[in-house]
Amino acid sequence: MSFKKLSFSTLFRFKLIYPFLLFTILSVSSLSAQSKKVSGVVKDSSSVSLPGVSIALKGKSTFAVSDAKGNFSINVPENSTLVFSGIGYEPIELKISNKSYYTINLVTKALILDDVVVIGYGSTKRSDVTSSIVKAPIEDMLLAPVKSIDEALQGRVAGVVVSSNDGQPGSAPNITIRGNNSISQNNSPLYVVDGFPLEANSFNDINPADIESIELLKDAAATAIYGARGANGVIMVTTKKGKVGVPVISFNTYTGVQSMNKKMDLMSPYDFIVYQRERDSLSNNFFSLINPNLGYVADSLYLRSQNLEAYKNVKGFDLQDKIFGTTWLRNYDLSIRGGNQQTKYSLSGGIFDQEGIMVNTGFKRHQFRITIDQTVNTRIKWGIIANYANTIQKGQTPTYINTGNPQSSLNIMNAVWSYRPVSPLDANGNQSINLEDEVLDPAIPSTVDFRINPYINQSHIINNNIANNLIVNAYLEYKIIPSLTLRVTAGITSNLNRNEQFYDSSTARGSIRTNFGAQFGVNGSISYIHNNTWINENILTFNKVYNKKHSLNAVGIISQQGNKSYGYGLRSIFVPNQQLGLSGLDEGTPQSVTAISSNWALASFTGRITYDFAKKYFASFSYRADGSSKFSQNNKWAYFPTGSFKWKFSNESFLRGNKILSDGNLRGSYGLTGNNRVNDFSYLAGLNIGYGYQTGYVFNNVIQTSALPSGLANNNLKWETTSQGNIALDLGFFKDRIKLTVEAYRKTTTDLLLNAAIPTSLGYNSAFKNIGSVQNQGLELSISTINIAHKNFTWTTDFNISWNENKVIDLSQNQESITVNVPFDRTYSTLPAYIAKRGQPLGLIFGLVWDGVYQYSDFNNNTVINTSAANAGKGSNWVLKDNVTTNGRARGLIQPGDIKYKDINGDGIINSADYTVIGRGLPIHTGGFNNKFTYKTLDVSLFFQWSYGNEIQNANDILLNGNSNNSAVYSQFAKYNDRWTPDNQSSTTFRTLGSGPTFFSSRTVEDGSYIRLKTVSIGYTFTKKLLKNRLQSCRIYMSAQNLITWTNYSGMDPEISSFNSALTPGFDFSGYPRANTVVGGINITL
Amino acid sequence: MKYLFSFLCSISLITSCKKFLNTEPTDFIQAEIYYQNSSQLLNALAGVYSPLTRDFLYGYNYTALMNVSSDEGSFTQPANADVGIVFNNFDYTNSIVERFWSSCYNGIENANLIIANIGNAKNLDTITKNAALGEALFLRGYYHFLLVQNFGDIPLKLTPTTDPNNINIPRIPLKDVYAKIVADMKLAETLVYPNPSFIGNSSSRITKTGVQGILARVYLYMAGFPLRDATAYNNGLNYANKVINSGVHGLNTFFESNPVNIRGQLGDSLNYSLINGNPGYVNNPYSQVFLYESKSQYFTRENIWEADNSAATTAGATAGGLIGSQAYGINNNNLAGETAVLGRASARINATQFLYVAYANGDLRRDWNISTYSFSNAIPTRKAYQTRGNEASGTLINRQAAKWRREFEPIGVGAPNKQGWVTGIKYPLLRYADVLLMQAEAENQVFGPTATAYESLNQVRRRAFGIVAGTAPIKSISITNGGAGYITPPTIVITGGNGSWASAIANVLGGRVTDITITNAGVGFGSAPTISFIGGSGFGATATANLYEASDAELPKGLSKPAFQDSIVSERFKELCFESLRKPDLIRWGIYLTQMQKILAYNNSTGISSSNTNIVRGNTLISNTLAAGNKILLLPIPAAEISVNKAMTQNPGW
Repeated sequence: MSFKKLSFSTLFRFKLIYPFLLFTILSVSSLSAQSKKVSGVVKDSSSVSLPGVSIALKGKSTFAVSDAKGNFSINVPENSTLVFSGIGYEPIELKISNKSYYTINLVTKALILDDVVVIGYGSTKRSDVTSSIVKAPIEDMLLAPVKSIDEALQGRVAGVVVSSNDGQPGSAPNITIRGNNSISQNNSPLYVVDGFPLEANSFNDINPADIESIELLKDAAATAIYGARGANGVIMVTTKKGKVGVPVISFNTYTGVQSMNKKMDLMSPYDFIVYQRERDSLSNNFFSLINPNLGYVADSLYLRSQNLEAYKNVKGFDLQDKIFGTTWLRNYDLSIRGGNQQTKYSLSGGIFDQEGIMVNTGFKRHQFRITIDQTVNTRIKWGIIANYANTIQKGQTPTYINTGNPQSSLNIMNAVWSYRPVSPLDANGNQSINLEDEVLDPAIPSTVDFRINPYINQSHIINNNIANNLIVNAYLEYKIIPSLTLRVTAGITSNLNRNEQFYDSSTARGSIRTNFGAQFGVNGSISYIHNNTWINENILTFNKVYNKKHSLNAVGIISQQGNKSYGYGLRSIFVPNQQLGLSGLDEGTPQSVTAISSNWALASFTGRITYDFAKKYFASFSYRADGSSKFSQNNKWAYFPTGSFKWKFSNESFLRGNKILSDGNLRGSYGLTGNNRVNDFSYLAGLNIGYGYQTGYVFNNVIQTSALPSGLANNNLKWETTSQGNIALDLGFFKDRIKLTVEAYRKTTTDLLLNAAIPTSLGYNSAFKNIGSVQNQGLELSISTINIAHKNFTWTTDFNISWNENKVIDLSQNQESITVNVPFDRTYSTLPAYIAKRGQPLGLIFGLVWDGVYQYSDFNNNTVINTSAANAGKGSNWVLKDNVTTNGRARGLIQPGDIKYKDINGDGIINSADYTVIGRGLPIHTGGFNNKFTYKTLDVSLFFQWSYGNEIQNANDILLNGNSNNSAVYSQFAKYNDRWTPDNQSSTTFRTLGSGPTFFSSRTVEDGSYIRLKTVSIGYTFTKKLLKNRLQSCRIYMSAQNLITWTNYSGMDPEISSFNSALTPGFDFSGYPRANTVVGGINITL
Repeated sequence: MKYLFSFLCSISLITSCKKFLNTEPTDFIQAEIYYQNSSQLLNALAGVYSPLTRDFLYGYNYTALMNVSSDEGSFTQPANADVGIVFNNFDYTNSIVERFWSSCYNGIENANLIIANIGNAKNLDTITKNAALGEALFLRGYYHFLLVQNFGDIPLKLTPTTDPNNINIPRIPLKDVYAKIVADMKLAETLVYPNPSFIGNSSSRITKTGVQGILARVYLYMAGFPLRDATAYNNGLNYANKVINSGVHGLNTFFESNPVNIRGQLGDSLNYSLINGNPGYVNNPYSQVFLYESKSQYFTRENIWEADNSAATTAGATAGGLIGSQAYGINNNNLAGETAVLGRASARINATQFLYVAYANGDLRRDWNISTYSFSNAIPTRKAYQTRGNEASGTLINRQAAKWRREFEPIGVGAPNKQGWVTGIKYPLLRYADVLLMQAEAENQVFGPTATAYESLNQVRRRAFGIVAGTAPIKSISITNGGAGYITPPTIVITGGNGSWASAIANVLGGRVTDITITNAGVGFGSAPTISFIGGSGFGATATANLYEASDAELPKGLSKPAFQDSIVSERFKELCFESLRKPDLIRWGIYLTQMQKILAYNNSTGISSSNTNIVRGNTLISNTLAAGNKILLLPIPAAEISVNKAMTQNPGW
């Protein structure tokens, strides 16, 4: 119950720190004396009463709202001015005269709203924003049937790249804002949910329907207020609160189906047998196609009772049909929101239940949220938000990697595709083995290959990630004088994650018949991670307009945040009673117990001044000092200044009233931000007590645990600093029917927190150092147009495109490049697959340049190596000409049809010196394109999203379009039927067994550009008339996600990054296929 | 500025900023406050030893991949590969070289931490403290020794790393590195435990004679390529003599009765196979040494220092010592259900035919070091003898290097999980037989082939023939009277002489016993046993047995100094094969490349089919080696080092 403890301690702290505050609160007794009561009614231009219009005393906060009939009443001081504002209407100012009853007519606002934008520690009008803050089109995004809003963010905002590793239900997408700053550290932005900064993406815990707005803070001027954590950008999430008015009950539900977009074409039974026969003849005789009837093992298996032709009539067995299905997706949200002038409340809850298209996978969320805001008096307000979410992510990911000993055959998709399509036919023409139901295909050599019937395997694996997440955030606001407000917030997040894994005897990891399972038998594990964070922030805001022209806003913040985390886990092997599942773990052989804990603390002081003159010239400066426990004594503090300006030239007299240009801003900013994403105690070296083989040793038959340094300390470790300059132009034409924003930025990250390679002769492979530098520069363009604004028909378009150019300026000392391995398969695990090089972008694909295959003309055929009598005629007659480059194998072993590479350094042999850049993992540009149509109350929306210029290392093809590991009983993609043979010499795909030594090459690098019809929705809203006023509103709709993708990529889906990191984007191996989703739903408001 | 914020802190927060931000780690102990008591010291010391048993060193790579590429064995997996260090087809980016390099420096760093911090230890008795310090010093020297043998000039690292920014580390000349190794080890000699009885008669830690024996080895390497410091032989001789004169060690003379493997298979599996013509095999004092290791038992009389892999058998260990499972041993990988009993083994190294034919008749080492049987799929509980056939045929080189055999590894509570790859088999780092051969070599180099040199060498040879403690196997049986009236061959009964396991069969022609084949020479005969004939319906046959004599085993007298050295080369081959010593030996003697040429010539002369995969692979290794030339005598400095260490230079040719 550390949550309780924490919250108490926080409150305790709170009290002690601010005794003066409590005193002040208690001492507040009276309001200003000279007031008068004013009442009236608010109507629209056609004299319809308007409920929910807020009525505020100018320059102060809201304190009245019109009721259901549009009536209002309010106490105001003499000679004051009231501001009436309603959503969708132009605000009106009313100077109070002697009258006490007023009729106010609000006029509909121009279509583009000058809405409120949430910025760090405050909010402001869109037109006053000086920095690069973009409000995401949340209403459009909510049309997408997705579990969390980040899945709908892709392509919506220029400069924000959202990509998911694959299509696994429940997995969080990766979000990067304006490129990757960091090489080895986390590049994800800071999330600020209702003012609470969170370093991890927590969208899975938030019901999309609860989200009021999302703001993306992109430039330094916007993010520097978050100082040490702002370098990767900030995503501000504001959830819905109660509103004054009658309670509104809203119910939304949708149900739909998900299905596969694509299947891979696999070898047919006939193709497979042909391929197996080739493997035999070639492995027995190297390259003797002279007499292809010699020694077929495949023949003795497959052609015992039937001839080859018989396999043409057999339907191939395709496990894709078995393991994937059309599955359900369901969502229910219920909310009640309302309030009066004193108290506003909101209660909401939702259930989201998604079955994955792959058997035994899925995601479920149960979530509940409550908010209360209360105005105690004109000076004091308080509020609280609590969100609880329970999420379950089920099913093993197909990209699961055992990093220590990667075995590609454990990956589900790999096992599905390589599963043989046919078993030997018997005399009656029936298959002798039922491959569908067999746990372990008897033909697979289980000792070197862990493939087990992947359908049965996946159905039996238990792998649940269960998260319970609670966020509670409270605030108290006190208006010291009208222009000065103190806001004190306190909050906690408590996150408990449980991971359960269980592998029974029908799984590859638990079956005693596989090599892996044999070591552990039926086994399972449970681990818990508990993460608690608390925060206290004290914000003093000063807001005043002098002489109606000089607006000044100043904010001062003192904040502190702390975190404690614990992790405990246990594992058990050789569990005797597997039917007990996880409860049976206690009967097995207990294994290593994990116990970890850590903590960090952060203290900050921040100030910001924003000034504008006559709404023409705007300037803002901020300064933040952050102190972090993650750095050594001398480096704990860092300082992040920033400045921005804006010239709203459309408000200049020479442009005012211009018929064409309705809005025009020129903005610029520069500032510093930081990244502290480093381990909690990286600056210290510790001794870890290890156990067992890797770290232990035996003294006199007794295992002696060993104490090993956990790493090399670096007492000089400090913050990563990003400096960013931003320049932008906003233009609006024809009363903002065309709006355009162009932004250009350049940011340079220095003192990169790099887990830098150091000479291994120091006894360590790497150490955290502040070294290296990365630059990102880019251009972002957003255009919104209202193409048609007819009474009954509207058409609007949003378009955005962003280019980001990433460049490594400097790496670790003395280091020209860093190569990165991708351990997808044991034989490839030590080969460099990606490279980061000085002067080049991150994420370059690395390897050899593929050059087709060797042809007969590359060989001399007059040499017969083997002359021994016993083997006459066997062996190779083909010997590579001396002037032809090898492919890394010994010259004498290379045969016609073998893979060929370009000899980059021209030394006649292929080896690691010939590696070069063979592709770029990062796109050149990305963007989105949205069109919305309305006809009366029918609405249609079409959203496209694209990525251009990125390439993919298609590792599936390495193993399944050529079988580079030469695994036995390993079927291939159908495209491998086109391989080189003496009868098909025009093919550039190497012959059976011709894959040469293990290398990554450009053969499997493909263009990963795509454009996707991401979201389509169509809805119909019933008018009140039709509903006979029984309901407030009712909308029925259908929407679809990931409906069509246009791409040249040959794999399952071009949006893939199986081993995602800044260094290794776009690697495709055994990814979870992305489903397309079609749902129908209804949204009712009572 | 900092002070301003500190000031703001102090007025705004209950706790001072300094205190608030000075969090303490809760999951690890900082190095400065460690090494306080003996258990902490042992933990730290285990960290210095542990790299020895990792895959990258004696757990697998160093022995099975890096050192097998000589004349003793060939690597058999995966089927169509011919790239990698095991085929001498690699470059400086090779990860095995890198892991070897970094594992050694890792061990050195762990040793340095003890050496630097042991002064902080209080409440520790001097003996414990000295032993730990001595072992750390020795191991620092030993890891440097492994590096210097393989890389030549290397960075010498004598203090713990403190500054990750100081990364331009120069190479130190070979000579100076060796000088420091010798200095570290000499100091260690005075500090470590005087003999194994202090550590429970175990060989997992180094004791005084171990230090001396390794010092002898270090000197012999100093005397050879590349340093060629001829004066070092004298020092090597001194240190080998110290071990011999200590009286703590000796060659093993004991042997259990025929070892019962874990399945309980005794008799039939080990007996003579008439069809295949294999000799009968019997446990003997040589194989017993490795039987102890296979059973994960200490035997400090001969096994002075071992890489103790049994930590690998901790429940749940997922990687570790692969001796006996993936390196050496007898494959049983395809036998469903048998791996749990026999121990999973997919041994990857076959002995060369060159090694097989190096053994003389009667040399008991051959049939232990090179397997005579495999496990049969058809009858998994039984062993199927390899077809012996013609030694020139391809089948012979398909015999596995089986010096350590998992089938004898214990099973049961607290014992290793035999279905996993990880084995608890101990791997010898210094054997007394090696010390004897080093002594003989050094003696010959300093004084010529003296009687002392002869005696050390002959001790090893006599034991190889089973001639120990006045006992020997049967060499021959001569018929003194063929008898008469035999219709079927009579059964031969061998009794007396205190020996055991001997057997023979008779041939009958014309009613007479005309010929006797020894199917098992037996062991331990103190005197010639009595031979009697039973059955066969005849009578009157008599025969006498002759035992092996020392002269059968011993080296011919009167060899020249170079000829004696040649005998050392051959004897070390036969005695110490697969102990990660052959390739380094060949290199220090400067004959690695010529030896590879010899084996190529041998392979070609035997007319073995070149379509035999193992011959192709063996020849690929040889041609790669010869193509590489002298550069192969030193490993390349790994990419991970040279790419960031600008003071580093690459070895010639790489």
